[in-house]
Amino acid sequence: MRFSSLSVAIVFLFALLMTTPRTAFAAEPTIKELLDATDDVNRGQSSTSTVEMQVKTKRYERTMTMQSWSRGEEDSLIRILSPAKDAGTTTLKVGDDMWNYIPKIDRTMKIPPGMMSGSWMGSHFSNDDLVKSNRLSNAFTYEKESLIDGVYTIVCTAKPDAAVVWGKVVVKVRADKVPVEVRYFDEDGDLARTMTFSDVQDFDGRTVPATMLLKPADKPEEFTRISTKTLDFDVQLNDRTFSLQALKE
Amino acid sequence: MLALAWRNIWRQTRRSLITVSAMAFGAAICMPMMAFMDGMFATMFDVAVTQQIGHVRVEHPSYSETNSMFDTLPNASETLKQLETLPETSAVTWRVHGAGLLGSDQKSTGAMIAGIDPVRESTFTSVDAMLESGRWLSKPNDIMLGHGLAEELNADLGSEVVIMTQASDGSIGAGTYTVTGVVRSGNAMRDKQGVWMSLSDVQELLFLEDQVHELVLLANGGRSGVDALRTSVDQTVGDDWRVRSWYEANPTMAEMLKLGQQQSSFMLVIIFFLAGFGVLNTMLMSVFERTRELGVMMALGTRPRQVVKLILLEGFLLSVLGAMAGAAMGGALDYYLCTHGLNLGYGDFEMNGVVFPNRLKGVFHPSQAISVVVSMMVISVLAAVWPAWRASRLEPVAAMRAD
Repeated sequence: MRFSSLSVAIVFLFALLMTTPRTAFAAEPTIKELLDATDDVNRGQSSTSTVEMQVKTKRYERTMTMQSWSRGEEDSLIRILSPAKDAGTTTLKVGDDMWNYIPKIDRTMKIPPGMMSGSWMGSHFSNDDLVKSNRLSNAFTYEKESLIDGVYTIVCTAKPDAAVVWGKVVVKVRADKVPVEVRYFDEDGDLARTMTFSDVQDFDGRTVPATMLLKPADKPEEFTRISTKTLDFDVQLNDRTFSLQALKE
Repeated sequence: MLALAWRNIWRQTRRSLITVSAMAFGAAICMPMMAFMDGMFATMFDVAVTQQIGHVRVEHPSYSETNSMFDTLPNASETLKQLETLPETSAVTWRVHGAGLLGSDQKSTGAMIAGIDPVRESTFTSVDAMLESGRWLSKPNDIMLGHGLAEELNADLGSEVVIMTQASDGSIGAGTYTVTGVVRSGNAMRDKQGVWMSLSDVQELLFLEDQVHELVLLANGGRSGVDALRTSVDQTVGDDWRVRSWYEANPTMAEMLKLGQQQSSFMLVIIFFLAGFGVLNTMLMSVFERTRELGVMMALGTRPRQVVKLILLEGFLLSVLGAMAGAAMGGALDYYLCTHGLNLGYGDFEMNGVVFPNRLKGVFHPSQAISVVVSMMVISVLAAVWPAWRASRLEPVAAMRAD
């Protein structure tokens, strides 16, 4: 009995030793976790969502609704539901490749590398923004700058050899891993654009900011706003969802 | 006296022949050289100015800096009508430009889209020279591809290509088109990535109803009418639009053309100097050798004025022979250059964005040939002035005693 009680005590102690840091860990997320959470906002193992995208430029203002399916960071499919003029237009992304399907001409076109920096569907997002596989925690060296009122400010500086368009990215993210704001700086250190997250809601058991607002720094009157209407995680998706055949359906 | 002069130049047959042939060679080199330079500059002007910039052009004030799809001229058809009635213009066309994704069956690539008015454009461009194969735009949904693009996409005549782009209202513009022609325009960039479609197709694709990016005019009377046309266009379209002449729009080209002309003038001067000194030398020698003879002539009553005339006439005859022989040789070379062209051995080469064909053809201006011949003759006669003057100043007695 003595032995067993001792062993119980040892096991208990070990368990305590092991869990203590873990608990602290959970309460105070690592910077990497925060960055990954920012990268993965709206993204689970698999997810499907309907969003509204409002684009305002000096020249035009338009609102589109679209449905998207994504699996990890590799695969996604986005289909425009309205307006009628563009309905059915679908973007497929698999890895670093991207295709657009245009129902009007019933054709699928691969976006060539030279046009990846072009606008996606007339928004302030580039094709590259959708395809980017560089995670903040991989391509950047990062450092916590401050923690004020439960909001971390993390400064990410591009690694010299990383193939990224930004020189510096400053992330503001809540301790509960809900991103607040991401500011993108170009290689000269000038602010290029700001993404603001707001309207935090629960979707399918996860706390997610329902609204993303992207504003280019040099055009203060312009923006692209994405509002999430529905969002479901861990849905059943197979390879066929992310195939060229699926584009046309 | 003409007979005397004629006989005199053949007294030293070899020397005269050498002088004549020196002049002839000078002229014979000058003429094709100038034809060649003119051919080069004509090609350059044709590709860069006539086909593209126009003699005078109208555009949105910031279009040339931004190249933005949104910087258009609205109410284009009304403006076009007004410009067409100007007496200073011989032709007007309009164009709309964009960029998009061009795809054939398998491949897709970025392309520069030019929307042109097929009928109007054909007065600016030699359609036959521009088309490598196929035919010019005529029906809706026709498209012509630059030859580089056609190769890249493996798009044959008659095949279908699609274009996807961002329309001006933010929507996706897309269309299916039939390849009717492959273009070799001489503009390096357009040949590599350009497509040509009808103006209305592109306006529809980009959602730019009755808007164009450029209105291009040719001047009545060619290059000499440019400034008058510019003034008149400026008054017609008002201050809202930017009106420029070709040399304002492409100062580099203007500079190059000017430099080229100076270069050929400079060459001309050198060759003429050589010819002039040849005549001077011949005539001086001939006067020197004939000191006694001239002394006798003057002692027998020939007046100094007549001596001057005689020597000048001799120089003139030499120059006529040289110029005629030169014109014959130069003309033959010119003919070859203008019909067959000169194989430069570089293959097609590019300069200032203009592609020159491997066989560059010369351009023959009769005025230039005449100017070569006439200046050669004038120079020769001028070169004979000094020997003639010297001859006339001879003292008959002293001259007769000379060895």
